[in-house]
Amino acid sequence: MESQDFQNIAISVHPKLMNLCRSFFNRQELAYDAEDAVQETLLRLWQMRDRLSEYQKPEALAMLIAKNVCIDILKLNKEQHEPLDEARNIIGNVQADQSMIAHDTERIISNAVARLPRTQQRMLMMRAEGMSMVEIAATCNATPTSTKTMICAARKKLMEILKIRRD
Amino acid sequence: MTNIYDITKRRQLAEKYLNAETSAEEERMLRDFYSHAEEPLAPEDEDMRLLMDATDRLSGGFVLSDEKAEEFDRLMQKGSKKSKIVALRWIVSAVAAIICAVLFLPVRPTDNAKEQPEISTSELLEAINILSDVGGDNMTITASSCNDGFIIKTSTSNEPPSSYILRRCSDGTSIELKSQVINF
Repeated sequence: MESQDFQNIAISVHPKLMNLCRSFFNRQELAYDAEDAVQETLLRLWQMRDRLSEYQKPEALAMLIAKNVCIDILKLNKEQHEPLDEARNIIGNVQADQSMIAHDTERIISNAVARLPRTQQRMLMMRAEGMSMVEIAATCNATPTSTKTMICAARKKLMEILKIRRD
Repeated sequence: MTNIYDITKRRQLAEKYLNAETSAEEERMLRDFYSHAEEPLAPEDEDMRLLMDATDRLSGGFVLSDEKAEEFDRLMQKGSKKSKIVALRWIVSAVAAIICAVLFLPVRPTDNAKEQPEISTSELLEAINILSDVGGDNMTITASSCNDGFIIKTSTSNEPPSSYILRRCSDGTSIELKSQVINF
């Protein structure tokens, strides 16, 4: 699939995905940003770009992915509200892990990434997956210039957090 | 093509990467270099390697599941059924309210008619007949309905006005004097 194709699909399907995700979160009374779910959906659609020909309509596939994303978010949200996970999160906090697992690179990385805003995380993810700046912009409903600024900010911030954690 | 093994060029590329100005190809070069770089690394390289590692870990595959899509549809339907039931409840309530209103409203005028029936001419004549014993000449009679009979107010030119309460008998054919207020 050509890059231009993905951009067009992303732009045309974006409003429909927004409606779908928003109505789902409203009905489930879940305080979750629909835009975030749409970004995740379009990222997954991009990851499946080579298989798009298997589906008659890219829009139908996007809707199918969006439903998967919504269910994933719902499940994740339920898990986060379980007391066991709260306890786990507390253990994973800054002070605790500095003494216990200071040299655990994996933990340092995941904690650092978790401190980034979700949109920044996803933009880094999109870039790491190989999406072009223009494609990321189309997915995030942003201009290429602001996308570049956000990715730059995200990388610098992540670097800063990693440095602090490592020292 | 940038020589990634040249530390100065690599630093420049790393700077470009942080400013989000690198091409996809340049980013791949950096990633390849750091994933295969051997220890020990300069501190700046160590930072970059950690950053590349962190962004790499962000990406990952996913499994597209029809079951999840079905679960989504089920949850959405469940939600809409709920709202349909709510809507149905409102409709039932509204219909019940209308039925009550239709059933109840005609009863009230009937009650009112019972409470304040009109005074028929024969009743009025009978009332005058009863009051003829108490009234004097040139008596003015004003009759008005009350619960189960009517009130008659009388006034004559030389006496103060008096009031009488007359009640209909249960058979409805005659009336009787219930009480009277005579002003002196």
